[in-house]
Amino acid sequence: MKTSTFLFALLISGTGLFAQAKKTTSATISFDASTPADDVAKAENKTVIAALDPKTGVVQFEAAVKNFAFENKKVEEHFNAERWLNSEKFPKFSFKGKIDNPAKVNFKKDGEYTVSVTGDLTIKETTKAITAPATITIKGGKISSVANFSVNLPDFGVMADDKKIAKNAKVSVSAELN
Amino acid sequence: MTNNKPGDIKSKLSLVFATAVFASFFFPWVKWSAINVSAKDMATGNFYKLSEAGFGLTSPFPAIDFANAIFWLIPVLALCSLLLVFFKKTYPQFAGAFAGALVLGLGVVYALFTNELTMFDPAIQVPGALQFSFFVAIGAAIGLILCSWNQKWALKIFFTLAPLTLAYVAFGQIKNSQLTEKVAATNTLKAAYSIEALQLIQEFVAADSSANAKYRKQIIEVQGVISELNAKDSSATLSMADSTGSYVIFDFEKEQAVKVKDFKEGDRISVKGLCSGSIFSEIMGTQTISFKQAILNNKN
Repeated sequence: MKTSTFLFALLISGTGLFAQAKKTTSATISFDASTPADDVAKAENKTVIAALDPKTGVVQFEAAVKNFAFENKKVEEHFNAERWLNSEKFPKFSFKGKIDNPAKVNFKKDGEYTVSVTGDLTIKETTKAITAPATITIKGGKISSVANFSVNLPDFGVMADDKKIAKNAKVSVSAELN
Repeated sequence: MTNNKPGDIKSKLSLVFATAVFASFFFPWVKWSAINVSAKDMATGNFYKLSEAGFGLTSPFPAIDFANAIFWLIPVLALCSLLLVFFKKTYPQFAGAFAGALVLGLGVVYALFTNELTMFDPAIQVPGALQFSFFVAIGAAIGLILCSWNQKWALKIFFTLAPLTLAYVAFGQIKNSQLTEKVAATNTLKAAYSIEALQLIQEFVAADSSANAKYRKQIIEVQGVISELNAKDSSATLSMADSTGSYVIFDFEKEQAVKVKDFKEGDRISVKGLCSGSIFSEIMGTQTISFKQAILNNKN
């Protein structure tokens, strides 16, 4: 495992800056399926595994479903139950994709860069293609990244009624590389 | 006709209502997907078994589930009402009123509970999920209450409105208490196991299915050497890895983050947390065993 962490970064061709895939075991996913009527379906997982292969631009992450931490006990139970994420049968989320526009980021230069990542998100063994905008910040040689997107839960076989549970859950993936 | 002797029409109505209350008790009141649930299921304790099997919803007060047997009074009191009217030629009185009140209260609980299931299956909607027997029971219960005495309208109104109000308020209170129930702080929980990190990892690597069955959802104390530490002011994670790269990782409770910052990689440490089990990471090519709600035990 690397000491440093990050989720999304870009391939820099020809620089040799990244000799191998960068990996982290402590990226964070924030999940928010709350509605105006019910504000409790929110959770975070801070033990997300993420990687970037600078040579290919491949971006990946994996998260243990059961390690999403909720404030509310009952909602956490429901989240892992059979009709929602069924975490005993489907223990992880995963994503594998590529950076669409890697040339937009100069890793040698401090700044904030907006990119997009396209790939396959797998939840409950259902795989759907998604494209997520991501912001990459370079500061003093350190890389941090945040990607925000929404996930249509019924598309992945997760029950949601838009009253108590939002059909489109907001997902934020963030990581740092020191 | 005296006040204690109902007329022919009232007697027949009382008999019809009491019979309907009695019979409807045994037929489905609600349908949750393919699950039919009768009033009898509450009395037998089967209600929460069905809700747990279908939706993972357990009884809010399992220690007093035996109290649900009180709903056996519905058919018993309905039968008493029948006997009073048929043989004694009197009004059902309190037997009928209590039977009706219990049906109304239970009916409110069934309707509200079924409405909550929408979040697990949007196809379950009230009133669509309510079955014919439910409406028969509610109608008969109101009828039986109204036929319980000759006059006494205050009592009739009380026995009609009180169970509706009481059940509605109680359900709301229980729901609210569950929605505000926080996950228990780890320092208040007793560890089921105390184990060295390397041994724990070894068990998961050797047989992840049995290890997951044994440790998942358990509070565990883990001792080992820190291989990686990420601590900020409000969050912290640390890992303990074996020589192959398989590792156990802890996500700490927010207020623990500052304390975790005092440690460094290579330190030996004891951590207590809720085990989420393992996944095999395609990225790392290793077993990953994760914990949440972790707290520091002590520095060894």
